[in-house]
Amino acid sequence: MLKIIFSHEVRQLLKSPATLFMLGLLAAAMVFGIYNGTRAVERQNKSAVVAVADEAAAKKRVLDQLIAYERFTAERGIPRVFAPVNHAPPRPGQSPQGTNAGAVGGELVKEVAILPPTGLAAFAVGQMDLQRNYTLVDMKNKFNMSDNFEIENPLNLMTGTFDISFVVIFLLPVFIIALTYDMLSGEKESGTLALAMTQPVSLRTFMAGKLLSRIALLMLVIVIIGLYAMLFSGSALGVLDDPDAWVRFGLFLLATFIYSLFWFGLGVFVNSLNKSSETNVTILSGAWLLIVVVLPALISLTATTVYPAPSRMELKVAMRDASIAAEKAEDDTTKAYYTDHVEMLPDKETETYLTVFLARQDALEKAVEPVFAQFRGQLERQEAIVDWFQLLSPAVAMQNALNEISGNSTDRYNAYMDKVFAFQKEWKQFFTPRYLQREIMDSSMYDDFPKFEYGKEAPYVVLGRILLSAFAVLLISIGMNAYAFLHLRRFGVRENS
Amino acid sequence: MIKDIARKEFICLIRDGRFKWAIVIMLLLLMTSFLTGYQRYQSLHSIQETAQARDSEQWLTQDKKNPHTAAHFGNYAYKPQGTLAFFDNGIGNYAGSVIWLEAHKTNFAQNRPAQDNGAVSRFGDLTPAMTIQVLLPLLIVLMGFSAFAGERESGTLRQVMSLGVSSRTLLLGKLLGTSAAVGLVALPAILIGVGVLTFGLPGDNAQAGQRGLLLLLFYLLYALAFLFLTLGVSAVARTAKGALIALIGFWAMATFILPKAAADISKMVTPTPTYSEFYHLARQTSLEGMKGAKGLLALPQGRHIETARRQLLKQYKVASVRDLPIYWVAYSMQIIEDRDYAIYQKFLGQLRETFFRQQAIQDRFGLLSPLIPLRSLSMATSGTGLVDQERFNQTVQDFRIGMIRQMNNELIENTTMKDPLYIAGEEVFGKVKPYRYNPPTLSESFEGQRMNLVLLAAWCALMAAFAFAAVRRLRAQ
Repeated sequence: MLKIIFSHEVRQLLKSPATLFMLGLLAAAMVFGIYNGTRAVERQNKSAVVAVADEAAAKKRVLDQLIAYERFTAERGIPRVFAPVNHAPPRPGQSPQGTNAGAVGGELVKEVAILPPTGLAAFAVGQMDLQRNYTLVDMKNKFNMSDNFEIENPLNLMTGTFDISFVVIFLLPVFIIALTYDMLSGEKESGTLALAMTQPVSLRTFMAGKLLSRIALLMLVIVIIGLYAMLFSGSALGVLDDPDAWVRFGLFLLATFIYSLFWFGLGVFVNSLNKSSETNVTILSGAWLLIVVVLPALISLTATTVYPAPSRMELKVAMRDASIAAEKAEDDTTKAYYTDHVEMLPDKETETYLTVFLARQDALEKAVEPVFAQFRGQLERQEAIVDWFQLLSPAVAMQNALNEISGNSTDRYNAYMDKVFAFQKEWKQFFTPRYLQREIMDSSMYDDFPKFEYGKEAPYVVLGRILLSAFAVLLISIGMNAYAFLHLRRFGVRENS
Repeated sequence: MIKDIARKEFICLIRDGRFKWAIVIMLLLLMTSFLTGYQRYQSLHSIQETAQARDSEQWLTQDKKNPHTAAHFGNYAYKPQGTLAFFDNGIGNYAGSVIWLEAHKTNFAQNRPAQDNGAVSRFGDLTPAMTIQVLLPLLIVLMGFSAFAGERESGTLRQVMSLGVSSRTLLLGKLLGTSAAVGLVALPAILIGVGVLTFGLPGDNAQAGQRGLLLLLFYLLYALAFLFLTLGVSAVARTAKGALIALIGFWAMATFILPKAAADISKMVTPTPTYSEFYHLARQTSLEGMKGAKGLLALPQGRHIETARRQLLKQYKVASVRDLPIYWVAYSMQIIEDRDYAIYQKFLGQLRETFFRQQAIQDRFGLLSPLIPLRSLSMATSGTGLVDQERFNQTVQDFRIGMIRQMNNELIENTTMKDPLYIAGEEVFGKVKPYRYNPPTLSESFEGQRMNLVLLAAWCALMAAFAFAAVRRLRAQ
């Protein structure tokens, strides 16, 4: 019987122009979404490529000067010498900056530490329209590196990207509401419900058939267009042969399925209340507004009110205080002449120029560290609040899940920044001792500079971050469906409740 | 007669259980949004004031040092909020409010709250403006969709029409009744808004009263457009259900889908350059010269300085920079600063043009959604839109070059190559007056908003015309 109802419903839905229009709209929105998401990732990659090329060119300039110097000294059989810091280009035969590890690692050469987008990055842009996915690492203090903002029109940032995650979180529920709001009430209002109930079928089976047919149709569209999206973005970004991308795609389908179940469950529940179609629409659109718009805004408000992040402005003030303090702590002779330009220093001071500079960066970093830790701690506590409150709004849970699955979440970004900070230590350890011992760098060392490798987050790490919320949403939707189906027993086929 | 119809409509609405809930929820949300808007404004305002004051102090009391090193230490320029930011925060969460001004580098505005608030903030803020822009139309739709269609279904429309009520009277009655019910929600909001403006927030209050009145007018036009649309659709639709579905569909389209689609389309038409592309181009131009520029700017940096050096030597009739009565190192640095200022002005100007072009493209979608012109007008009036942000960016860069020049000139004039040591203190640093943001006047705020004004008024007028036409052809069955 369920099969008959199911296939009957499918046929009927496919013959309704309204349904076809909606499914078409959903497909179109997803296609538009993946196009926008792919463009966003391409933009990000392009930005990183330019940075890598710029830094490679800078390194090559230093290296070329050094090789020329090495040839010059070898031909004449004269010893090479260590070059003190100097901003002027070397004269022929003069030792270039490339021999000085402090000058090289401190300002001339930078490592571009890239956070590579995942294979599913185009599905949910997340916070990546605000941030660059690369960091320029040198020996300056680490707070300079942590503000990786990307240029974008604030108006566009405010509106956000029309990507697949927007379609799934915001629009999919609207389509589900449109498909479900009159599952029973519509039949009843047109008088066909009583007629159907004269057949040997229970109301629950009838409802189950209607529900399953709608879920099947919608998921079919999502899987097909989702696959298209995967192929489109995958081939544009060259990640189709990456198994990790397909695992993430599977997680995306699973999360979308669970999220859809919630909205279907809500539709069934509202129908089981036995009200008019208009009342159903009113309730469902109110619920949509609450879950997708109001609750997220309230959750965000709660998080920032309970744990207000010390503003970055305060962080900046603290940095300047620390810098003033570091300045005052330096010994008097360097203090009086200390400048950011070596060419302005009296000759006897140029030797110590870089030492003073590096020492100051260290002092600054030590002084600001507690403020920075507090800053990051508050943000983490905010995230923790959101993690709990997302159980209130499946939309927030879904946003979190999609950002994690696409690899554009705050968690992944913070983990990346931690790796960058650790890498900077490695970078400093490579150059500082060489500089302090006045070691003369030669061109063969240039291949041994530390390289940043992000590595990959294993799928279980991602799964671990979204398991709780996915489970909660699943539980809520099962509960709602169960409650509704139990409730159907008391459903009056003729009278209104 | 109008009064009777209005009273009936009003009483029916406020007695309906659904609307009681809707009204209460809406009222709570409005109150919450006003309170948090007020609180956010206050805390941000005080943080900004403190930080800006502290920065001036740090600048003055920094250790005695070479003035150019002081320019490296630099200043921070903070953008204060306009008073009406408590109502409409606009792009506030996504635009930087502080710019570091340092020697040799042109920096962008930083400290965008969205970056530090976690992804959940991307759902949007609960500001009073957002609440009214998004939730009020839904409330209007829910209250008005059955005004005609519902009465037609229950058969009372035939009775009313048999009394010989003119269609105009009927529409105006329904309009008044529904407006009164919606007004129950809006009035407290307006009162709070007026209260806050009258009793004042700290900060810049210039023209806040006029701006408040304009906001009231814009939001009124917006609400009326939705009200007329709702009543018109209700008159045309065959069933109340049909009217409701169509109206909610339009609402979702106008408030959620179109603004986002418009933003993405504007990015497609006029792409925003990336950070690395922007700086790559600017640095390259600085080194190699600006193509098509007049004078020294077209030359590579090295030749620019070389030319200036020769001119200087000729002017002072000396053979080497070591014999100049001024300090050549600082002089050449200032040449590069001035050169870079011109170059960055060009590229920042192009970026600004890109942003405004994107906005203009998005504004064109106002033909399809009344939210878009309202949103732009609301931000412009509240001083939280692109115009204000770009004014800040522009004036800060002008301030920066003045500060740098002041510091370099101290060196140029007071030292020479033979005796380059010069330690300056507070009396020299004090010559740089702190940056002050000078907000745009009312008419400056509305530059480029003419189309939005026309569109918003047109929406209201067209929807009114539609409603009257629909009611004139009203059928009882």
